[in-house]
Amino acid sequence: VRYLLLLCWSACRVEFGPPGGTAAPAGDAPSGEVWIYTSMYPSVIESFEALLRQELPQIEPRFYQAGSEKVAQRIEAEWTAGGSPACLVLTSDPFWYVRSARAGRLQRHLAPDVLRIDRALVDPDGTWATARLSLMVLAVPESMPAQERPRRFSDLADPRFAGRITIGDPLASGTTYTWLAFMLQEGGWTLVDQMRANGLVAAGGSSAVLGRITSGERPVGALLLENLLSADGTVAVPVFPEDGAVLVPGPIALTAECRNPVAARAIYDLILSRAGQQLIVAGDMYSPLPSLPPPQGAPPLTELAVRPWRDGLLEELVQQQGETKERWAQ
Amino acid sequence: VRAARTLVGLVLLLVVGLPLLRLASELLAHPGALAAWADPLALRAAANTAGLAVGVTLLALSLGVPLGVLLARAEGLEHPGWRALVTLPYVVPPYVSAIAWITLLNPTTGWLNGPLRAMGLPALDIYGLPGMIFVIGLESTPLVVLAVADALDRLDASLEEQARVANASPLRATWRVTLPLCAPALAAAAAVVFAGAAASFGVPYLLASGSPDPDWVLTTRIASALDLDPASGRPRAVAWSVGLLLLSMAVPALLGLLLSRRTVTVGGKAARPARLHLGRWRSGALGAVLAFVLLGVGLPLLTLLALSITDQVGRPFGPANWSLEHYVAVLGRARDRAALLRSAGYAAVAATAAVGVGTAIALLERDSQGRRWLSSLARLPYTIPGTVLALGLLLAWSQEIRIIVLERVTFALALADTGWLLMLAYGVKFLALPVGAVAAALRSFDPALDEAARICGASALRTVRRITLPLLVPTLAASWILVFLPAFTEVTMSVLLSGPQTRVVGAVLFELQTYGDPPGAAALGVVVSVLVVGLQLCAFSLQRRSP
Repeated sequence: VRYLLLLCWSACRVEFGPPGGTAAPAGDAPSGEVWIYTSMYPSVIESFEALLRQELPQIEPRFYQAGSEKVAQRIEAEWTAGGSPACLVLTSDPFWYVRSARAGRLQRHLAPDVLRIDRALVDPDGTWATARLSLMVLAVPESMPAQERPRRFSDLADPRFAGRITIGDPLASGTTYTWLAFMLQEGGWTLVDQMRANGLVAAGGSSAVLGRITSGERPVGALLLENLLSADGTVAVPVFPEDGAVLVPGPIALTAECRNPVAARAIYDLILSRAGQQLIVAGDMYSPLPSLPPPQGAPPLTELAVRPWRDGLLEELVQQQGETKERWAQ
Repeated sequence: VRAARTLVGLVLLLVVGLPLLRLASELLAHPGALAAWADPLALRAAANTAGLAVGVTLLALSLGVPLGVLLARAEGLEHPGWRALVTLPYVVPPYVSAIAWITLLNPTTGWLNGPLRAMGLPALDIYGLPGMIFVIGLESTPLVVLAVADALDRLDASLEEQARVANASPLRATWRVTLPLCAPALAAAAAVVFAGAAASFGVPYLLASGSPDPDWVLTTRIASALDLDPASGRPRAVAWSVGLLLLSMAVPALLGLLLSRRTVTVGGKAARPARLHLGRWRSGALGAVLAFVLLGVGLPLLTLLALSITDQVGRPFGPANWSLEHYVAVLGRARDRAALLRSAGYAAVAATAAVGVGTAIALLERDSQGRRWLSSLARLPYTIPGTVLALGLLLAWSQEIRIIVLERVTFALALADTGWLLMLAYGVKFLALPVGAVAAALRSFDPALDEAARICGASALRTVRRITLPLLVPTLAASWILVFLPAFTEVTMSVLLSGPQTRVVGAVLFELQTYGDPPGAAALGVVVSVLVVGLQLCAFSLQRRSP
């Protein structure tokens, strides 16, 4: 028992001074450690780290990076255990933010640039705002003749594409779930069941879909445009669906129990500022700020058929999420 | 002994019991979650899991037993290099070998299916339960090979010679003498293979999800439940994990009943291995060993190598489409190099701790008939899916434990986002491997050796130090490797538990595969495989030189 206690004692970190963590005193310049849980691409995180070092040098950002669902699993487990170090969350599952806001897990914050964003992409109560936009499109190998390519998402139910179609896993990918929700809005379970009867393979995230398309294993699929743009020289090309590409908002939110809210708000504002949003565009995603150009190689959203996010749609989809995912799992 | 048992018990309660209790409390808080078992899909997944585990165990035994016998006894296969070669399939990370097999045997564009079709043969389909059994079975076979070969090494050959003198044929001597003496080691290996197959996630997920009608198993259902909604899905995931636990515990219990008769043999330096003269079958035996190595590690690694040097996936494979840029990118990034070193360090510490604790448990429970609660507790985490175990560890250890003295000095025990949590996770997850291996080795030692030492006046501790541990050295070395290798490349727990300062290889592999750089993932897979193959060969050569 003595050895065990000695082991525990030697594993302890020793702090001197009054207990209080690393939070900066209110009113001071933003400083200290801030944990950011995100599903953003590693290259985009590296750009943000550089920007933060330049603009907010006294802040020590700590990024935990994983897929949206893994981020949600970790933060929920930490909350259940008594608290999470996460101050900011930036993932691509908008439904998680609505649920967490309802549970009182997020705190309000209105960044100056939020006013420039489409109001359907911002929580009216200010608990979250869209920090990036991803676009779900169709993709095929460039060698596929134009007349053989699908033109609409609903073509995935066409027997011409039987045994050749693929998407991500709606249970494991927030962006694919958003796409599924829009398909259900369009044609209900009849359309989705027809796709599944057509031999739809639904697995992994967008990069797994891209892998199946480029290898020819499943040459027709729905995936995020940013995956195609970031894969230099890929043999897959996008097809912008005539029935409307699906826009997936990737929100940012400040957690209610953040230990360093001053610094976290400063990072929040910087990410939504023009400088931060330029990094989003450089990372092959669209910015919710209308004044910024599209990512390189992508058309402006105004030139595309895009399914609109009307007011209240997100809440509706959140209501249906459990049932939809259960039905899909069946 | 009682004090040591208490100390080990306390350690186990802290590192294994606490996370499991936190998970159990989830179930107690949501008793309705048990209704998840009424779901017909869960029952189908349970049936698939049982089929997978049984299939993998049978395949591993049917390949592993003859290979183990050949390596331990056959003339011409004495060189330790053969043994190192046959254990290589265990070395290749399962996540990576599944990607290679998908590339080789997917029904549409599989590289091996093209020639098969050209020969007028039907295409093979790696997606589905048979594919999973094949991939996991190949990967698990070395566990059986090592167990059989290790048991035969320690077996006193004079027992077999006596059987031959008594006019038994070689086959009869093997059946009536050799195999029963190897039975404890074989049963321990079979139980580990069964539990490992039932709890495996990466290979079943990749090989089920490529089919329009996937053969989901319990671990993939558990992952789906957590993805569905992390908060409400967790109790359901725990409920299914309990079922998985019961399934995995059933096999060791069954084998324990079958092997209730105690088997004893004289071990140590007294053993004289009897070589098997194969005569004209020698080249056939060599061919079988080489064919297994080719299938288990050669083909997957060559495929991975081809993927990693492919500049653009989808364009024809040839010199015009070859590039080393993925290797330059992976090895050029300081972060990835640091992750490699970090993983090696964490896995080494976890393996050392697991072997230490595992050996202590096996020694302490050596003579306790039927009261083996320490080893039972140590074996539990191996059968729990990595994601659920990682969540249990987060629930138990994500909060700082702070002791404040005089409002000025704080002692904070903070494991979250430190390497300690990852080392704890790896050590806890793979603790079952050394416990099983050492217990099996101890069962085949003759108690007369210990008794002789005690009669000569040696204390229990001195007997362990001077008699038991030296005899255990090969088993301990093999166990260390068995823990180190999967810990070095572990993916599912690493993704949840690693942070910015503790990025490990598993998390980087997952990141590359998930964020659109499969050739980068293949390049890292090749680098990792070459490293672990090298380590494996070094370890074997050291092991051979041990006293």
